[in-house]
Amino acid sequence: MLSTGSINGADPDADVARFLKARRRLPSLSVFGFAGIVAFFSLLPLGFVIWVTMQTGWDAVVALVFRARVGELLVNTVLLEVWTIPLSIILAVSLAWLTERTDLPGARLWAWLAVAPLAVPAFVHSYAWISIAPSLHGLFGGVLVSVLAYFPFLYLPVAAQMRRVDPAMEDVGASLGLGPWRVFFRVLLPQLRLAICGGSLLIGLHLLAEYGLFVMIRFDTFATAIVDQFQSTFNGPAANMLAGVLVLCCAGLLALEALIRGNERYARVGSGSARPATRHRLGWLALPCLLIPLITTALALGVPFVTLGRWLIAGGTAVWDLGAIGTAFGTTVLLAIAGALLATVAAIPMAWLSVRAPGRIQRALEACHYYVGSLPGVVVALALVTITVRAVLPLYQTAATLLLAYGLLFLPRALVGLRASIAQAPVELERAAMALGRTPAQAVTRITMRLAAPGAAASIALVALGITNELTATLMLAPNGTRTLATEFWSLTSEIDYVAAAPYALMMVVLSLPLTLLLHAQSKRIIGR
Amino acid sequence: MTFLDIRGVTKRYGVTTAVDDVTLSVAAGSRTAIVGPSGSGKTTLLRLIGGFEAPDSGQMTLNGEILADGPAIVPAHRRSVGFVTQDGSLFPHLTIADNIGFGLDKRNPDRPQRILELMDMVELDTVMLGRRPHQLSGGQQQRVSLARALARQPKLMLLDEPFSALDTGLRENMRKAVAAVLKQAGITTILVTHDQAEALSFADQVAVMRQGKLVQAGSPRTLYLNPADRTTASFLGDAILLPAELGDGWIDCVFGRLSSATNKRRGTAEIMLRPEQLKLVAVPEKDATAAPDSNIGYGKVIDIEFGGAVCTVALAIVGNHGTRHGQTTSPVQIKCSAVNLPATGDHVRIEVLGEPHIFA
Repeated sequence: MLSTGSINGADPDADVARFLKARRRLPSLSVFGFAGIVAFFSLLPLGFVIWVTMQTGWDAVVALVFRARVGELLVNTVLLEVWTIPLSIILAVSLAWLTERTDLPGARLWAWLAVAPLAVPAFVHSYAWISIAPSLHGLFGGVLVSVLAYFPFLYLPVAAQMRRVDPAMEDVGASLGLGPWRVFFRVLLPQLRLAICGGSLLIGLHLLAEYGLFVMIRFDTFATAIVDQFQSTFNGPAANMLAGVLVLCCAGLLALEALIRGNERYARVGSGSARPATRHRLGWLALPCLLIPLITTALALGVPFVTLGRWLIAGGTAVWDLGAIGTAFGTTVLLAIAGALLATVAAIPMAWLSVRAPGRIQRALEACHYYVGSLPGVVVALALVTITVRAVLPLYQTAATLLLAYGLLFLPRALVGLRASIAQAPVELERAAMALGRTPAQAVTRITMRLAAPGAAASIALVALGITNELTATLMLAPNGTRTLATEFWSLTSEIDYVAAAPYALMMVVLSLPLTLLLHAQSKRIIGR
Repeated sequence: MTFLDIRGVTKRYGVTTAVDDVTLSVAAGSRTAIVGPSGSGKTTLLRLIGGFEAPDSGQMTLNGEILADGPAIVPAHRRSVGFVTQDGSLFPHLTIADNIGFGLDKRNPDRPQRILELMDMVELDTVMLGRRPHQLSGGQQQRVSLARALARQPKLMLLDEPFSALDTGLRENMRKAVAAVLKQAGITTILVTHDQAEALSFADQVAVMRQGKLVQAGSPRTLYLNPADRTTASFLGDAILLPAELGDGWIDCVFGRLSSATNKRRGTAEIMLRPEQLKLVAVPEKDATAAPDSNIGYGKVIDIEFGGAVCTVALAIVGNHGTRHGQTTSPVQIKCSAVNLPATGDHVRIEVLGEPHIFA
C-alpha cells in the first residue's frame, strides 16, 4: 500500500499535468487522423504518377519521354509561360497602380472591371476570340487570350498589397532624393514582390492545366496532348508519361517561385495603422492612362460579351432548348455545391490544425493539402480513372469519383479561406467554453466553427466557382450522360455550333459573376481588417 | 538668421482647412517643435515643409531658395530634407545597411565607409548591418531611420512623432540621443509631437497649433510661463487660472496680493499660475483667521490626494480674498510635492514664487 501510494502519489502535480495533457491532446489526435486521411487522398495522384512510371519500366519511360513530341510540347509550354506571365505582370501592376494610387476617373469602377474577367471561363474567352478572329491561333493567340483570361489573378493580390503598403515609405524614398519613377521601382515594386510571385505562380499553373482554351486556339500543350492521347488510347502509357512530365513542370514552377520569393519579410514593420495613401495626380496624363483600363476591359470583357450577344441574337429563341439547358444548369449547380461542401468539410481538420497545432507534422500534412491544388485537372482525372478501373471498378465513372476529383483540385481554395477565418476565432473562446463544461469537440464545433462560418461560406463559394468552370476533369470523369454547362458548351463548340453553345456560356458567366464579385469584396475586406 | 521661412501657408482638404494661414520662421541650426492635439494640422504642416503636399497658398523658402509659392512647389526629392516617421518606415525588403545607404549612390566607393560612420553616429552596433528591420527593437529601428535620413546630409530634418511609438523610459533616452546627434551635425530640425513635455524639452522654439492655426511660437520658457491664451496654458502643463484685480504693481486674487508688473493695466483680468509656483506653509489657525483682509493668502486643507511625486491638496480659502474673487464654495486644487505635505484640517499660508501671468 505504501509502495503503490508512493508511485501514484509521489507527485500529484505531475499526474494532473499528465492528465490535462492527455485531455488536451485527445481532440488534436483525432483531428490529425482526419487530416491524415485527406492528405492520403491528396497523395493519390502523385502516387499514381510514380507507380505508373515504375510499372512502365525505365527503357519505355526513356522512349516515351525523350522524343521530339515531348520536346515540342516543352518548348510550347515554356514560350507560353515566358510571354504570358511578364505581360500579365505589367498589365496587372499598371492597372493596380492606376486604380489604387492615382486619381484616375472612375477608379472604383475600373477596379471591379479588372476582376470581372474571372467570371468568364478561359475556354469561353477563346471561344469569343475565335468567333471574332477565326484565324487566331498558335503562340500569339494563346498568349493573348491567356493574358486576358488570367491577369485578374495577379491584379487581385497586387492591388490588395498596394493598399497595404505604408505610404510613409514612399515619402521617405522621396526625401532621400528619389523621383516618382524611382520611388515606384525602388520602394513600391519590391514590396509587391510576394503578391507578384503568388499571382504569377497561380497563372503559371493555370497555363499548365488549361485544356479548353488552347484546343480552341489550336496551340498544343501537355494538357491538350494528354487529353488527345487519353481519348485515342484511353489509358496508355504515353498519356501517363506526358502526365509525369507535366507534374515535373508544375514542380519546377513551384520551386522557381519559392526561389524567387525567398523568405524575406515584407510586412510593414511598426505599429499603429498606416495613413491612407494619397493618390497621385495624373493631370493631363489621365486621358492616355484611361486608355489602359479601357482597352483591357474592351478586350477582356467587351469581346466575350459582344460575341455572346451576337451569337445569342443570331440564335434567337430557337437555341434556348430549355429542357437541355435546364438539366445542364441543374447538374452544374448540384455538382458545384456538392463538390464545394466536400472540399470545405475535408479542409476543416487541416485548417484547424494549421491555426491551433502548428508543428512539423502539421506542416507536412498541409503541404500535401496544398500541392494537390497545383496539379492540373487532367493529371488528377487520369490518376482517378486508372485507380478506379484497376482497384475499385464500381466507382469508375460515378459522381463520387468526379466529386473526389473536385475536392482534391479545389482543396487549397477551401483551406485558405477557412484558415484565415479560424485564425480570427481566438483560442481563449474555446477555452472559455471548455471551462463552462463543454467537451473540446463541442467547443470547436459550437464556438470556433460558428465564428468561422462566414469564412467557410466564402470558401464554399470559391470552390463552387471553380467547379462551375471546370472542364477537363469533368470531361474525363463524368458518368455517361451527365451533362454540365461546361461539357455541353464544349461538345457544341466541338461541332462548331457556336450559336447553340452561346446560352451555355451565358449561363456559366451568370453563375460565376456574383461569385467573382464576392471574391473581390473579400480581398478588400481581408486587407481592411 | 532665418533659415526656413513659412509665410501665410494654407492647405485645405475639401471643406476642412488643415493648415490655416501659418507664418513661422526657423533659425539655422535650431530645433523647433510643432506641438498640438491630434487633428490640429501639425502633421500636415510638416508634410508641406517636406514637399509631400502642396499648399493652396502661401510661400516657403529654405535658405533663401523658394520651396513653395502657392501650389507650385519643389518636389520632395529635390529638397534635401531628411524625414523620420513615427515608426521609422524602414524598407522591410532591405537589410539595415541597405536601408541606411538607400539615399547614397551605389557606385560611390565610400558608401560602405559612410554607412559605418552613420551607424556609429547613431550608436548602433555594426553586427546589425546584415539584419532586417523586423529583427530590431523599436528604438533601434528609429536609430536606423535617423541614420538613413542623415546619410544625404540634409539641410533640414523633419521628425514626425518619432518617439511616440517607444516605451516611456526609452522615449526620453532617444530624445536626448537624437537631439545630441542633430546638434552635433548642426542640422536644423523640426519635430512634430502631441506631447508637450517632449516639445518643451527638445526644442529651442516651440510652435503651438490648434485647429490649423499657429496659436503661438516662441522659446519653451516664454510659452510655458507666458502663454497666449488659457487653452495653450493648459495644453503646455497644469495651470491654475484665476480671476484677479490689477493695481499699480500688484494683483489681488484668492491667494492674496501678489506683486506683478501690471504696466498700465487696471481693472479685472484673468491670471495664470503654474502649480510649482505655489508653496504651502503650515501655520497655526489663529494666524490664518486673525486678519481676514490682509494681503497674505491663507487656506484650510480640506482634502489630500496622495499621488507620490505630485500630490493634490484641496484648499478652502480663508478670509475675504475668497469671497471677493468668487471662490467661496468650491475649493482650490493645488498640486504640490509630497515633502512637507500638510495634513487635512491644517491651516496654511500660500506663498507664490515668481510672477503670475496676466492674460491679455
